[in-house]
Amino acid sequence: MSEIAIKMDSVSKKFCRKLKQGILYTATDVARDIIGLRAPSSALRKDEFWSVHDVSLELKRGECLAIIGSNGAGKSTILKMLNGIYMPDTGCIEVNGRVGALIEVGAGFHPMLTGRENVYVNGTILGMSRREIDEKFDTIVEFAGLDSAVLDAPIKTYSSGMYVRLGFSVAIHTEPDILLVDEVLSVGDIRFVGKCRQKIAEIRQKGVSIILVSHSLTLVEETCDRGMVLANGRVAFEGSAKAAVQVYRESVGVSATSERSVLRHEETLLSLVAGDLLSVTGVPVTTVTSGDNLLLDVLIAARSEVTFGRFAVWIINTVNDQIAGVGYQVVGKDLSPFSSGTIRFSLRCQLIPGEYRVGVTFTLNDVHKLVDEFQPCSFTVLPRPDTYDLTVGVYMLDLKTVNHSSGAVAD
Amino acid sequence: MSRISLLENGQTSLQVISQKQIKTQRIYVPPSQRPGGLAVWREMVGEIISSRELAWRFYIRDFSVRYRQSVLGYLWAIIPLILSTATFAWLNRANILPVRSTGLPYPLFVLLNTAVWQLFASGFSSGTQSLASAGSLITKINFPRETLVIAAFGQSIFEFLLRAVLVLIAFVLFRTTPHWTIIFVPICLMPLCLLTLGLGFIFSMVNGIVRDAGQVITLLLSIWMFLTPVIYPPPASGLTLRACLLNPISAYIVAAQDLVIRGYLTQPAGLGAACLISLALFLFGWRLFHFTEARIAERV
Repeated sequence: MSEIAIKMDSVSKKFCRKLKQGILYTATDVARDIIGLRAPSSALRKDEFWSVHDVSLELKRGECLAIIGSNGAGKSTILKMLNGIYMPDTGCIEVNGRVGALIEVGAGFHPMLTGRENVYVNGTILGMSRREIDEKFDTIVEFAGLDSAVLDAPIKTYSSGMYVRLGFSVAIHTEPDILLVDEVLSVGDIRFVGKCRQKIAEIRQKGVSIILVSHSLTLVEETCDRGMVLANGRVAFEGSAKAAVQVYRESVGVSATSERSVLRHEETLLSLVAGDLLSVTGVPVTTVTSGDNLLLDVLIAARSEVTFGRFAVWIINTVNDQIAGVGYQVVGKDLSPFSSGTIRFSLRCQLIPGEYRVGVTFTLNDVHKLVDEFQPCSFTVLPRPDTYDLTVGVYMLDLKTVNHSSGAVAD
Repeated sequence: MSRISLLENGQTSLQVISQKQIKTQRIYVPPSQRPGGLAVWREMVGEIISSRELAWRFYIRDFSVRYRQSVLGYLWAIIPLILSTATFAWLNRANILPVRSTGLPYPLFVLLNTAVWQLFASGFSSGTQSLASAGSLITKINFPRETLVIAAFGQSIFEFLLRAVLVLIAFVLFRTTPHWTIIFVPICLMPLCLLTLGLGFIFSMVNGIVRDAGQVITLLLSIWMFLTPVIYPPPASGLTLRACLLNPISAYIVAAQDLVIRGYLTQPAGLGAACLISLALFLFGWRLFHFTEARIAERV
């Protein structure tokens, strides 16, 4: 048995930006395959782009590699190729061992089936035998933290957290030799996330090789030995996890100062041109005191009247961990349609002292369809004068003394 | 090796599993560089064998989901058949749709033929839809996709069995005794199943790439049915006869009729040709599916 778990040899993958054109390309490629003509896979045709370009990597048994990079850098495409969902256009991938993927957990769930049935179906899809599932069933359910009463209810009645937890639990119990993890650790409640991290650490101990795609740079530093930074489908850096995180932070920091508006959808509905954090009196601020009320102004350039979509306001800390993310107003429901101008949010800064960045995202009604977000603005939170430096955690309790009555203390 | 030593103090059963798993090696290359020839067939057969449990799971899943939220449940497999048979029988009785003698009471004749036709038609159309309707399953998880097409066809077989029971009941109601050769009907329909699966393989791929395929096939099947001797006996001469001979489905329908009514085959050559065409289409479809599978996740 070789010591190499995964070997990618100058692998590239291209996609087509236009749907119809893409259909045509696929059809011609298939036709060429059938008659035995080699498809010109190493050249780009009109409207095509390299999602992954000339990437090589080697993962030894028991190693843990992080792939980091901005959205659209090709991270997920690599994982999908390693999992055999996409075939490379050039190059060769060799995978030794059973692959487990935490790519989109619960993807195989059928809403009409009960939790129990779905565990069996999903487990089989992921390559477990009936006997294996029988053996692990109780462990799976226990890990997901579901009680047996809900197991026989259709899964469409589950909360999204239960759904994800069950999906994660099935996937992680497939006993893989190689585990591919794509950003799934950011879902579920904090307790479950902690449990998942612990489970992954446990799996590592067993000598399973892991490839982790994550935006949580702390997790990367904690878990991984090696790191790879991807930019526009190419390997920008490869080295230790710490060095990779450093490189990535710098690259993001540099681009943050240039343009505020990034990441657009092809047909831009609107762009979030700028955002400013203001004090209640309307003065731009970069330093606030914990517990302050603040205003957040977002300047919007819309092509026409915006009648749908939703806003989210989020706060991250210096290591890109999400401190808060509030899916907020839905246009057409909570917010009347609007056109270009400024939208003002008000918020109360209940954060403990530290450095933060606040951002606003506008998505289509399907929250995964990002329309625009602006590069978050930094701000510093100063301690409230009446607190002292034993303040810990993330959330600043609005703590006050309201009453004091003197008298004997009952036992 | 290191894996096994690491597991030394683990459970024995775990060791056995991991030794089995560690043997799996997969190599992914661009679709155009995949090996061809006999090795591929071995790979395809191996894949079908190793994924039979999954195909069965999908079958059970579809089966139990299908009618879960309906009151009449499995009756829906036969209600349309009863209604359409009743309609044709009425048209026939009112002399709007005159056909020459068929050797069976006309409603029974239509019922029998439609059951065979539906095995093909519903298998073909559900096979075609199978990949496109699986959606995120295909784009997020890697598993042998053949299982989806096979499971979809499994539903049609089950429905066919329900309809077959209905046909047998109808025989009793019409006080008609079928010829004893009726027991050969299942064997005679096996190549039809291969044909249906083959077409399912081909068009599920096409439909995965261009969604028009599903629409075209629904349309095509409704016209095809009237060009096949389902509601009328096989023509004896003329252009319709030639159309009939070119149509492999009609060979199966005629053969099923022969086995039920006569006890001998009236068009053995036609059936032979249909069997050959079916086998060829099945092998071609399966091969094409295996070939194209790798590109499909990008398009579904």
